[in-house]
Amino acid sequence: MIKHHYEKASRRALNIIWNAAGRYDFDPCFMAFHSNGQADDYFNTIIGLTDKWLDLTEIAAFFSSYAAHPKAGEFDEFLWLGIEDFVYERELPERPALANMRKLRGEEFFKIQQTLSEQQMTMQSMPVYRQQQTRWAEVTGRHLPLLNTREKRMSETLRFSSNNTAGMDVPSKSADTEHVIRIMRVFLQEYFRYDPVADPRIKKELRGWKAWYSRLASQDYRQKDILLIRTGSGLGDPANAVAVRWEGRRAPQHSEKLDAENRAYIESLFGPCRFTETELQQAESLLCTGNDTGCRLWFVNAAAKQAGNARFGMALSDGAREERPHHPDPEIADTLQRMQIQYKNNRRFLQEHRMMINESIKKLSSELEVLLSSFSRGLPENGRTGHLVPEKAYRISLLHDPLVFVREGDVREMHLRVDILLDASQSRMNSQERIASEGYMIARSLLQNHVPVSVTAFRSLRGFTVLEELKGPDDTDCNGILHYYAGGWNRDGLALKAMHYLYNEKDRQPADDLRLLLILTDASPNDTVAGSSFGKNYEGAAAVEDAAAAVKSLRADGVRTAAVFHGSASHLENVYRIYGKEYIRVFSLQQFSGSVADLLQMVLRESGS
Amino acid sequence: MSDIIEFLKDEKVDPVLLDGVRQFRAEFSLAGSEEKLKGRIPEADYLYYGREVWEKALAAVLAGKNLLLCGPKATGKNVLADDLAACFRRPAWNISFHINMDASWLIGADSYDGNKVVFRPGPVWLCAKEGGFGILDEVNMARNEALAVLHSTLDHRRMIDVPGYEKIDVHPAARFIGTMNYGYAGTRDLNEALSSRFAILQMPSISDADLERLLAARFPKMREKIRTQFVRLFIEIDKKAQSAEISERALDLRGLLDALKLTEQGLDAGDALEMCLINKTFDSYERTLIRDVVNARIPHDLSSSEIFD
Repeated sequence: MIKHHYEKASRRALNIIWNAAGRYDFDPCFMAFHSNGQADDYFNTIIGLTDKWLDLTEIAAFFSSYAAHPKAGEFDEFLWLGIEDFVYERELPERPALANMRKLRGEEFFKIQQTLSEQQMTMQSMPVYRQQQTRWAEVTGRHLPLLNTREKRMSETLRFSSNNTAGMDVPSKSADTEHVIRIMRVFLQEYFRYDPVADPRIKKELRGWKAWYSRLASQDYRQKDILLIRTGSGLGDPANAVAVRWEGRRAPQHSEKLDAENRAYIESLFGPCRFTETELQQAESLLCTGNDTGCRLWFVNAAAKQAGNARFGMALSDGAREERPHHPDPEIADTLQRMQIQYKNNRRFLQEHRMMINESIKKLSSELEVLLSSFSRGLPENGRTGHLVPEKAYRISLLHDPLVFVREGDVREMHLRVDILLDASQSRMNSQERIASEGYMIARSLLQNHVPVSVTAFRSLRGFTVLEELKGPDDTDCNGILHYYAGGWNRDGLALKAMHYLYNEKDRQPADDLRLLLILTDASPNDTVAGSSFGKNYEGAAAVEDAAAAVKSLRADGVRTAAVFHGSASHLENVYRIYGKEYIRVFSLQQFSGSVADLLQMVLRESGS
Repeated sequence: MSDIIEFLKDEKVDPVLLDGVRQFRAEFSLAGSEEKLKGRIPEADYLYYGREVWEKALAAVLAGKNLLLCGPKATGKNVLADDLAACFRRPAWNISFHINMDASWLIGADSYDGNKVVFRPGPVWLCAKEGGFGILDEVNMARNEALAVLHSTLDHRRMIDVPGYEKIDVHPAARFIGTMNYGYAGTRDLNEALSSRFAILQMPSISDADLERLLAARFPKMREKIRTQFVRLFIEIDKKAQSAEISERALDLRGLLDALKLTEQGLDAGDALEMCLINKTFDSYERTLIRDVVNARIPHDLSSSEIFD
């Protein structure tokens, strides 16, 4: 019922949670979905209300404390039933509609149970099911199921509101949180003989969810994160939506052998590096310094990627059967197959929305045409012919200055080159089709105006920051962009530095008047490899500053850098910090073309001035 | 409709300002040939709630200043503008601005009366001549060049000079009240020359307490507990719009009041809110988000008899 965060992100669930919490500036640690992938409005409201009435960080820390236990999922479901009871009672006087929502949720529970197959029923945890059944039967006024003594006591304990011994007239958030955590501990100790705090497998104190999560995702574990691709569509079954999976055991320390293994892994997934060994070392010695010490780079061009796909028998044409790529490593073969499926999802999305996408391309192309033609026209200038400027006429006889006319500026030859950088980290998993389509739309619109454009995806994985070219600047076909998929981390600073490096390469140094780098981003850089300025991970304000410094350096070299942002409101400050005012926020595909045109106009105008 | 001054007294607006309003009324009462303009005095169906804003607005009008009301949607800009005209008992000319607005739209244009070419005065001209309150709605929708003709009308010169026709002085009771919202599509910044001719009042979002009072006044039979839920619903939609999760389309105070009117007629709250609030946005995803907020506050089948005594 309730899935851990990062397994499935859904804007709707988030909105329900934020609305109930009354604030929009936090990332909840839980979100609730029905088995069909739709957001569970009642339980998401409860999660939001938990933030309102209890300290959600403390509650999440408790949940995290037993995450390694084999029955963690079962515990979650029990404890959320208890919390539901508690926050429901607290909120009801202020929100009478909650009673109606609760009743509907109860009815829905029984409706869903009727549709479950025998197999699905057997997969459920029966103790959890019995408690849920009891709770929802009470709520909907049905006959209560027959419970044995233990189950009855369990059901009583899960009434967290009636177990409130704090006995305060005025509720206090910290006292309530303490009370709820105490009951949760008692519940686990009494019915499962388990105390998370005393568990030797987790030698840590409850010092907050963030601290624990940060340790879990620390550098020591990075060698084992596995690139997985979501198999469902954007609204698919959250059970199939897998983000970054962690191995349960600690990985061995960094070693040459491991480095070689990781490199082989990266090469298998993305294809060979476009640079020779010496060139790559040069690039790394220049770029992987300071904040990025210890990081590695990998540059893949579109042609090598295609060759790599063919090598493993990846069938990417529309009609091709989905055959499993024949790589000896089953894990890599699995990932390659997921890439293949994502490519088809991207294509399908493009097909399904082709009317709107074609219309947007047409609109963006025409706006770009006007923009580029006005940009290429110079400002009016003084001349010997043209319109007489009366107030300057005296200069002819007095100063013998013939430049008293003003004439239209000449049309100047202008070279514009655009590079699009797509954030391909796992946080983009639920927008993959959309991001691929957006990259496709911009690239097609620019191509129609004869502007060379390249599209590159970037992600960081196992310590490697990979720049994967999806469409080369000379390609006239934009279908390569549909190979976009999300997975891994995003070390924005290093990716931007690597792009900067590529700009300085010989083959990218024609006499361009203007180079524009457009980044489709969520402005939330993070990676599991730390750097000199970072604690355990590359994240937070320091990572934002690192990315901002990379953008500053690009701009100092004349590369106009702007961002198309679609992320949560909590990252708006980050995007402003990194890109200044040269960004737009996009909410839907419909508004995409108009927003991008506005952004390009802003960038080109500033370049003109 | 009782006198708006009584309402302002209840709002605890500074009595000195209210005396000023009474003096203004006495000095500029509509009499004689001006009687025909009485139909132009707004009825003030909706009253603006907010003492501080009232005091600022009254002071600006009494001091002879033109007023620019700026603020996001649902902050009561037009309500206040109408209420000001009603309060001072002056005829109002509502002028909706748009991108193709030009001088002839505002001041007037040549016309043919069958015998000769004559000047057909525009709303700004009429308002200036008759001493009305010109409400320049969404003033920043028009191009700044088109608005340049208003400069002499709005500043200390207080006159309009139409080449080839007569020059008129702006009536001492005439005031111009602009409204503008930066966020709407098609709006632009007002240039300095124009904005310097207005006293600018930033309109705050309506507070919980003021919205409660507004609903209580409009729907006296509404149950208090239900009224609180509608107020919180509006505040929650406002918060969602401010967090840029939805557009401002559904942030519609008029829509909320209309929905309550529909429930008064017997419609269930869910259907009424669907028609007057949720369907204001045409994006289906956005509608879902707004519906979630509504459902978490107001049960869909909440009936008229449950809402009103």
